Amino acid sequence: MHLKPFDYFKPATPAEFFEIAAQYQSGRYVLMGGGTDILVKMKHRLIRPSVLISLQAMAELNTIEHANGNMIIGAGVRLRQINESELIRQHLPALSQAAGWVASPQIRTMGTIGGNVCLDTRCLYYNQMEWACSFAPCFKRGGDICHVVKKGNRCYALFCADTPPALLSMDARLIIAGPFAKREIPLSEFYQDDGCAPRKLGGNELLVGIKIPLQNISISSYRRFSIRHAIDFPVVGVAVHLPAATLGGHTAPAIAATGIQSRPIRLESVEAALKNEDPTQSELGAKIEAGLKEVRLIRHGGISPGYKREILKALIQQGIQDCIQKGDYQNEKAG
Amino acid sequence: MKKPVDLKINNQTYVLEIEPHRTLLEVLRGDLGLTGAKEGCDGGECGACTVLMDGDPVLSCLTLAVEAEGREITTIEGLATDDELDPIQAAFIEEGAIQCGFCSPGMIMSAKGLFNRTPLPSMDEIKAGISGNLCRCTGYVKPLHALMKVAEKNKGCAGK
Repeated sequence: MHLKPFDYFKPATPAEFFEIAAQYQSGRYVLMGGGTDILVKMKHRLIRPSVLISLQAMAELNTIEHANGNMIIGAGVRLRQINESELIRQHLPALSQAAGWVASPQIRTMGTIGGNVCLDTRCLYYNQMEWACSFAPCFKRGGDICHVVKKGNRCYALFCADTPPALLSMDARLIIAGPFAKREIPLSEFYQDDGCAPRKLGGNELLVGIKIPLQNISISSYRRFSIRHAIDFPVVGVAVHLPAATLGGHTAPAIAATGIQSRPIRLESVEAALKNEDPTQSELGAKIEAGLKEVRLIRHGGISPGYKREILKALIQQGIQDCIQKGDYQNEKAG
Repeated sequence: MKKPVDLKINNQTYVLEIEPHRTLLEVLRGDLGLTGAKEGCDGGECGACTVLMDGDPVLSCLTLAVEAEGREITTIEGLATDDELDPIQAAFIEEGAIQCGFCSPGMIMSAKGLFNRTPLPSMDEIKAGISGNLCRCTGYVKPLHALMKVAEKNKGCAGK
């Protein structure tokens, strides 16, 4: 399907971007990183922007820096680079794994980490050709009904990107540039549980980078369950990060998930249930299950919340096992 | 409004004027007659439109043609020389790794991208390398055999 005509800009710097953006009301333009999601939505006529601003020429968004105890990844770094970077594989294994799970080799070559963090929510009743959708317009299509949660008073489309749980589990922060200044916010504050507007990014703002503190974060894992192995979004994806102190059984692991609500979240109730527990003990399953009872889950394409809870439990257990195997826990314990 | 764009495709430079909303796939097929890249799903799910950009596989249906300026694009038409097929193409023929042929150019370009980076891939790496290409004849086994054959030949060459 052909794209509708639009005005096209390709700024080379954030300053140039703000000059262009100032000429248009936000909402009239869309930003394009790799284009693998936004162009599909435009082809499906889900959005009809009159202006498209490509971020592909911004060289300064394309760097990976390791300095002062932080890893700073430019928003324009491709998912393939993240997956293959030895630096990221060594320090942030869950992020490397999550990037490697996204869609297909072609899409990972094109798609950016910034685009993945800002990915729109998805729903069976929304992500279709406009003309193929015979349902009454839902919230996300500008209507006043949710077909997934009956009597729901908002959109319950699901956030399904792979990399944000890995970043959340590592307490990542976003570097957001505005026309006059930059600001830094915790990734967890960037999202809200609203399928229509999952991100809190102001008009004329630009996500320029992601900052990840590197203290003790080498022990992490990302696992996901999807219907198809490739070219698919996760039904659920789970990142587990065991800080070194956890390996001594003193603090809680950090656990974050995607595919369960309209935003990626830290599973705080599960983290609390596992606090001060020895991660190598065999009875973790019951504790994870108890923690998961407090997590609200949304149905996804015929997959019930109960089934999702079972998958989550298994992925969390596997993630903890991955971390134990990767870490020196056994050695520490023996020592 | 059309924009002047120079596209370097298969080592040849094309001087074009392109509207920004047109995809690389539309320009390849419609303007340049390079119909090897196929339009399948047109939404990033099938891989039939795969071409190489600076040696790595991308989906030409989700690449704006204007974004391809300054990049080295290789399509299936650019693999063979006048009298010699690319080893991947030759292996596909030898193994009979084609049924209807619609997915073959995309699959071969994905494999080419894989071999560019990993000349001696394992079977698992080959499977991952072409995981973004769907074949609706369900003919994955023969392409995998063909690509293993290429890997083995590369191994032979590397050993000499």
